[in-house]
Amino acid sequence: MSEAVIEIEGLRKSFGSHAALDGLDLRVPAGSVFGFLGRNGAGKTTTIKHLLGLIKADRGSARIFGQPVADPSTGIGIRRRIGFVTEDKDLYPYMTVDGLIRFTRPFFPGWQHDLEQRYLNLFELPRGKRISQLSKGMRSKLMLLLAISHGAELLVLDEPMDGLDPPGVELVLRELVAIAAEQATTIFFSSHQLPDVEQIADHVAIIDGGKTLLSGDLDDLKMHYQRLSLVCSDEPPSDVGRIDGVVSVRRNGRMLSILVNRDVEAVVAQLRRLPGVAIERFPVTLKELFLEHVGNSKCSG
Amino acid sequence: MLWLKAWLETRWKMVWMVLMCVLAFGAPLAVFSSGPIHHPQQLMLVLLPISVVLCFITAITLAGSGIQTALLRPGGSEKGGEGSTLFTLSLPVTRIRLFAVRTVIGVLETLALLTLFSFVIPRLAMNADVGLGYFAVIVSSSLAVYAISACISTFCDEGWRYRGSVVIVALLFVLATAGKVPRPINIFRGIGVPLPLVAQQIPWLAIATPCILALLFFGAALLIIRRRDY
Repeated sequence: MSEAVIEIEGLRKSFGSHAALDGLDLRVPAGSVFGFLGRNGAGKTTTIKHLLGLIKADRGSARIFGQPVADPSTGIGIRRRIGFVTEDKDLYPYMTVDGLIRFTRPFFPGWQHDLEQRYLNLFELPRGKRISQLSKGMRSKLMLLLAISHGAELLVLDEPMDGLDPPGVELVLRELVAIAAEQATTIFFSSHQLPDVEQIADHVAIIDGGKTLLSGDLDDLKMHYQRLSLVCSDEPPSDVGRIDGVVSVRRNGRMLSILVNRDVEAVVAQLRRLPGVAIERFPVTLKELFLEHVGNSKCSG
Repeated sequence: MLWLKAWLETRWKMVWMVLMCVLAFGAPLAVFSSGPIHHPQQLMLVLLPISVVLCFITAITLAGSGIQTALLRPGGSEKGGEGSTLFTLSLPVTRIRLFAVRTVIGVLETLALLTLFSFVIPRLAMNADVGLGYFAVIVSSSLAVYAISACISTFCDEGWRYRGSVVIVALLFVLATAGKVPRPINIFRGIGVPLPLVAQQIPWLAIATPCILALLFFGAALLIIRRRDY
């Protein structure tokens, strides 16, 4: 197992009576492109804020590069090695693009001017324009430039594609993959755009209610899960959900859509014993996995 | 670069306070200059209360604009909307340093305006000087007002901070004038009647009391900033 850049164990954080994080566990391997998924209010931003030392957890621990994020003495060193894109993409509206770059540079001794120049050109950022005049998409690109140019070992990106047009999304996705591949940068990003996540992520975690529901290598997860489509000549059986390995069953007339997460062959063999059924097998998409885990849609036939 | 940023975020507040100064001093000066010339001390008696109020408003205004916009926002929310605060706090800088830079810039700006109100305007308008002791009293009281406002800003948003600061400072001033505030915690103990207009002696206790209280408020603000969530 590769070394972990981010390790979170049993993280809990409440705001009043609301538990934003309820024992979250997470492990982000070094060099991975890690998609951090969840519904609105699932606890993604709270987790990211804790990683950056912006909020303190009630219980549990989080470590980045092996150092505890809750320790103020290590916080500065950790933040120097992290590039961050905020959810709101809010920057100082009175500064120009050039001014903000000049402002940010001195905080990072490892600033790479060649990367700065490359992304200024690639993202077509207008150097003399005020931040207040930039669209959200342009601000996203500017934040990415700032995050990448200081040679960060870990990029923490909260909805980095937010506000970008489709060509912009493609460009950013391509660059993120390139950065991960060429510079061995670990990329930890949250997004609601599941196809985008599926396109570039090699690891994912799905969280809900402040807990990790699913986490791991995306290819492994997709191998473990399969969707079975069962068409019945008569009324579909009602006890399919009890078969070992069946995660969920959805009924649509005489058709059942079954999600299986292990022993697929055994499940198929059992289903074939039912009279008058036709079975088809499909690979699952990340969207299906996500909806099955957080969609609260489980029903038994 | 934090110094530059702090200045960029507060410069228009300073310009605004200078405009307020022109408006506040302009009217009485115009009235006096059009009538028979009075003794400068009489004019000073009119202008100095205006100056005192301006100093406190300046301290409250700059305490907010200097800190609130970039660092101190209501925390405890898991949702976004914190403006550029998250970006600022994600920089490899301690919260204490961010607060210190903000505070030093804000206090220096306040000091510059206090000098304008207390020395430059009377000198230009009436060829009169206030005493150094009086200026020191005004500075220390304004510092305490600044610190109170900065402390309030650690748990209130900008609107409530401003309103809360004005109400608290006004209340304290009224109570202090009525002699209801114990001297050891009276930040206005050097400001009163008779005003030490031209006195050159330094009222050390009247200066030290607000300074100590200001330090306590800054300390409280720092503790809150270190502990709170953003």
